[in-house]
Amino acid sequence: MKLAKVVGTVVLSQCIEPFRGQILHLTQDIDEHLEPMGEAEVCATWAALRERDAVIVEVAREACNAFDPPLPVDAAIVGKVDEIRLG
Amino acid sequence: MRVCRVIGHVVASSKHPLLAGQKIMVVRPEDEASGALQVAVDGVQAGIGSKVLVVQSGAAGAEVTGAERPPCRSVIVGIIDEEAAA
Repeated sequence: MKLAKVVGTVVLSQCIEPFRGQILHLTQDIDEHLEPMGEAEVCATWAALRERDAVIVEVAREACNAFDPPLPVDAAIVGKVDEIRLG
Repeated sequence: MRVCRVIGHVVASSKHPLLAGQKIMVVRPEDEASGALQVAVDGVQAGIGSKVLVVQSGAAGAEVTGAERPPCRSVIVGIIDEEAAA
C-alpha cells in the first residue's frame, strides 16, 4: 500500500459493464515531504474524493477486493487520510 | 518480504470497512533512502523506529483482517530483533 494525493478524476465514455458508474480518480504518490512525485495513476474508489485529498492506495490483485462484487482493477483507493504523522 | 523501518503512522477515519480498526504505519524499506511513502497494516503493534518485516501478500492481509478477500496486501508481520548474514 502507498500514500498518494488525488489530482483529478477520470470519466469513461464507454466501458465494460463492471466499470459502469464507477468513480475513478487520478492519484500521484507522495514523498516524505508530502509532495506529489512520479507519474499519475488511475485508481478506482469507493467514494468520491476531492482534489488534494491524501489517500491510501492498494495495488495488484487485492485492489479488486475493495469492491463487492470484485472489480477488475489493479489500483484502488481504500482510505482517506486525515493526518500523516512522521516520527 | 522486505526489511523496513517504521517512520510514522496514518490517521484515517474514513477507510474501507475491512480495514476498520487496523493501525496503518508508514514504512520505509531499509535499502531505500527516499521515494514514495509506503504504508502497511500493523499486525504486530510495531512502534515508530522499529525494524520490521513487511510482506506483500493477500494471505497476510487475510490473516490480519480476518477477511477471505482483503483489500490489502501490505502487512507488517514481525519485528526484527536481530539480523545476521552468514
